[in-house]
Amino acid sequence: MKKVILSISAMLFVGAAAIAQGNTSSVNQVGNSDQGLVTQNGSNNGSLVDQLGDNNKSEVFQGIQPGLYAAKDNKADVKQNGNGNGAFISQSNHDNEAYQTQKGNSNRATIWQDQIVNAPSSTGGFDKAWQTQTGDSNTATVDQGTTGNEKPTGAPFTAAQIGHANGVTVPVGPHNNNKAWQTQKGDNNVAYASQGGQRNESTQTQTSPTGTSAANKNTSNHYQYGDDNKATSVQNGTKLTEDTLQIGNLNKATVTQTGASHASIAFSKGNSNTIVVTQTN
Amino acid sequence: MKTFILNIVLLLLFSPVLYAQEKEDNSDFKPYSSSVFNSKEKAFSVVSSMDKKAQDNLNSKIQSGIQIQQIGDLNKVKAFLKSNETKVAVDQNGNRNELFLDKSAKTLTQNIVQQGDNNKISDFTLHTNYNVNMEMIQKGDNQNIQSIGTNSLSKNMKITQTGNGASVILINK
Repeated sequence: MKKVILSISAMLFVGAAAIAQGNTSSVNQVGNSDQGLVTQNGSNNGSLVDQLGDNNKSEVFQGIQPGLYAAKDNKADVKQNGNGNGAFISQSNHDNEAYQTQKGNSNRATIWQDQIVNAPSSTGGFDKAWQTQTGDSNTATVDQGTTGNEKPTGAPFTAAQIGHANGVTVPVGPHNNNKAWQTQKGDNNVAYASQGGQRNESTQTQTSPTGTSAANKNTSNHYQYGDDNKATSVQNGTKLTEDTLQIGNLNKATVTQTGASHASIAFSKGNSNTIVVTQTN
Repeated sequence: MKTFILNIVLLLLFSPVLYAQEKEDNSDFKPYSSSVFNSKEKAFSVVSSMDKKAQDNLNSKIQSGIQIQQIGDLNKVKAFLKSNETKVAVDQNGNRNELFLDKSAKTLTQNIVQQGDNNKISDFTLHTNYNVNMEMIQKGDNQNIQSIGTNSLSKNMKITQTGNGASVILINK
């Protein structure tokens, strides 16, 4: 009975928070301390949250400051299934889409898109980000924009490389057409993508095969500051790590690692640099 | 008299040649002339074998995995690696430098540095069962290293090039 009341209260709260006409929101919650919070300002926003079991929590904000930004056509889809998952989506500006799907084991996913401070109303924002996580302590975070945009602060990057990153002005705007999809399956995977600039792309896929040792820790991080940068990582195996930091325009980094304990650190500062790494065992 | 006249004629005939040769001696590169050879920079290439101490030093200063740093424009790194233990460090500083590294080895420890513009390294080994310790350093412009294959001589090789336009081609059978 408590669960039902909680779900109904959440839906009522959502109904009160959705101010403008045309917004849609649906929250379904079953089991164990779930929470759902959706705030939608603007027009034609849509949000679906579906949570099932075990300490799940979900927050969706779309169009934070509609008086300053025309926040419309945003979409958010959150599905969580089991074991302490948490999901967070915050979108402002135009045409953003974000989907998060999580199944099992302490997963957490966060998407920020266009957290713009004092940006002009003409600022674009065609951002897209979807994350899919299945199993085992996974964490995935996408920052495409400004105030939520983090920088690397230390290892595995050198002090000189961190110095170059610190030289980048954040917030970086305006933002357009950023894309990020992250897919993780199995073990203690971590993925993080941070993009500032225009038309950047980031794709991370981490798959850990069955039967690997307990010390698995796939990690893939992308940091991109500039325009038209692309970073793609595909990892499959044990203890794989990958870190890409690109500062400038038109840089590309593609890393594919399959097998045992590979590691890759890719750093480019400048324009039109290319890094392709393939490691197989 | 005839002999004296002949000597005079011969002297007059060869004097421009002597002058021309002397003038050519003043150029930086005697036999050839081009923008590369006329450069004030002298190309310098050293191909040497690393002893055990140098190999240990190389292994200690490179961490596991592959680390790539590129600062500049239009640099390229393409690395396809397969080994039980990989330690590769790549540093390209300048513009239009290129590295193609395709290697399968038992273990692989390699340091690659390219500083300048338009430098290229191509290093290809289909498969070797050696523990490879290599170092390739190019400082300058328009330098080129091509290495194909790995054998007992090249598995612990260090190649250093400075200046402009230097080139080393290794075919290791």
